[in-house]
Amino acid sequence: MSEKNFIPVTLNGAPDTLHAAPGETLLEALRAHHVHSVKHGCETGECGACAVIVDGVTRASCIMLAEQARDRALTTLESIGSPDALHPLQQAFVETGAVQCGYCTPAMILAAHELLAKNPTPTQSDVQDALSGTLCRCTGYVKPVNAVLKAAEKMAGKN
Amino acid sequence: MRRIEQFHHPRSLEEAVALLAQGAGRAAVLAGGTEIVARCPENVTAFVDISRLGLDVIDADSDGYRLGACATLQQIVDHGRLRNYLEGIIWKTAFESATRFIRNAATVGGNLVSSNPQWDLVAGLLAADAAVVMQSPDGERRIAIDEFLSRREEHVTPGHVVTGVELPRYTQQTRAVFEKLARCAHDAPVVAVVARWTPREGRFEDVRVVVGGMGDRPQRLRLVEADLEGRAASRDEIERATALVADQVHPVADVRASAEYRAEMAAVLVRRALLAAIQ
Repeated sequence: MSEKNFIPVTLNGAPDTLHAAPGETLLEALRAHHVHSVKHGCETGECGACAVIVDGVTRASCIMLAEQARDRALTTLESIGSPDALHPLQQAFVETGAVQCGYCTPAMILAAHELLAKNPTPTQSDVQDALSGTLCRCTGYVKPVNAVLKAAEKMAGKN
Repeated sequence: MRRIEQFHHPRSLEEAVALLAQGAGRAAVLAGGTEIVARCPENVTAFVDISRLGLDVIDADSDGYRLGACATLQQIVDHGRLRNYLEGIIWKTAFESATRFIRNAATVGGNLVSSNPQWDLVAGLLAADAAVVMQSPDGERRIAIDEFLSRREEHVTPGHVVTGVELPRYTQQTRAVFEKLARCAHDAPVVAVVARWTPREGRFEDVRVVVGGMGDRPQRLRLVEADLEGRAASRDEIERATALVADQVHPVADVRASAEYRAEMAAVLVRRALLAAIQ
């Protein structure tokens, strides 16, 4: 196996360094870096459980090499809300009952976070498309979509 | 991915092209990576990242549009003016081809060199008579997309990189329709059809009928096009031309459909597309 390189990134707003061989994926590098919100799922880019926001855009990290993230800004769930202060998206997911096993939830939150940053007043169709990259076997998607719409309303109402 | 030994971040297109030419097939182009990272060919030991070279721009000018090779499918979907181009067949084919996270990463260039029938955009570009722009150690060249796809293996060799696609301008009268049959939204097609034509005194002019989802690249149905050219834009003419479709296509069988079903559905979708185009 090849030597690992140091890969500078901005991770959740702070300068950081990933450590990965040229052939390692961003998913592997992030989890080795103790970022556990990104999940191993299908490892082929189909299920979205590994989603990371890269330079403002949500992507599957299992089909990105860690080197592709060099000098880029990465956002993961670790920077969104906290157990004591939930982000409105997280609050809405809880209130709506949109979380069952929770495995796809980090990816859904990230996708919704990107959506609301770009479109604060999404339609149901907009939300469905934003979440289209996540495969959820538990919820049937109705409650997660409703949760995002509810959060959007709440966040828009604050302005 | 353990066998990757080097990852290059070239600072210019010239440097990228030189690295790829030197790599002689062992160095692969990397833009979004949606295919090549998941399914890396055995012989590839190095990647050359072309995503930071300013190739991601979508530009409009008096001659039409230029899509950079690293422009993502989602950038195409989000582009306000491009939405109206050729009745939306470019943004629609980009939108329908994949779900959001994949569209956020998949690129125009990646779509063009891929042998995966999933990428409906290529069918749209073929129907639009796009020009493929390539860079190599010998400089830049333009290739008509029909020629590019027909002899793709000869055009896409080590050191020869797609840098963009140029879309010509069309008149307001030009009609274009995208029809797709798939198991669900954003799935790879059973069949995808893009039809384009210009009405001239109630007749078909400059007809393109493209079928995708049948194999490793979309194709023009030239006999169908020739049959329609100059004929009245009527239901009868469309029915007659549609009868030619099944013999023109050589579909693969896969998990989504049998070859027989694909051939039959190709004719159905061509009929639908042409009937919609004459409305």
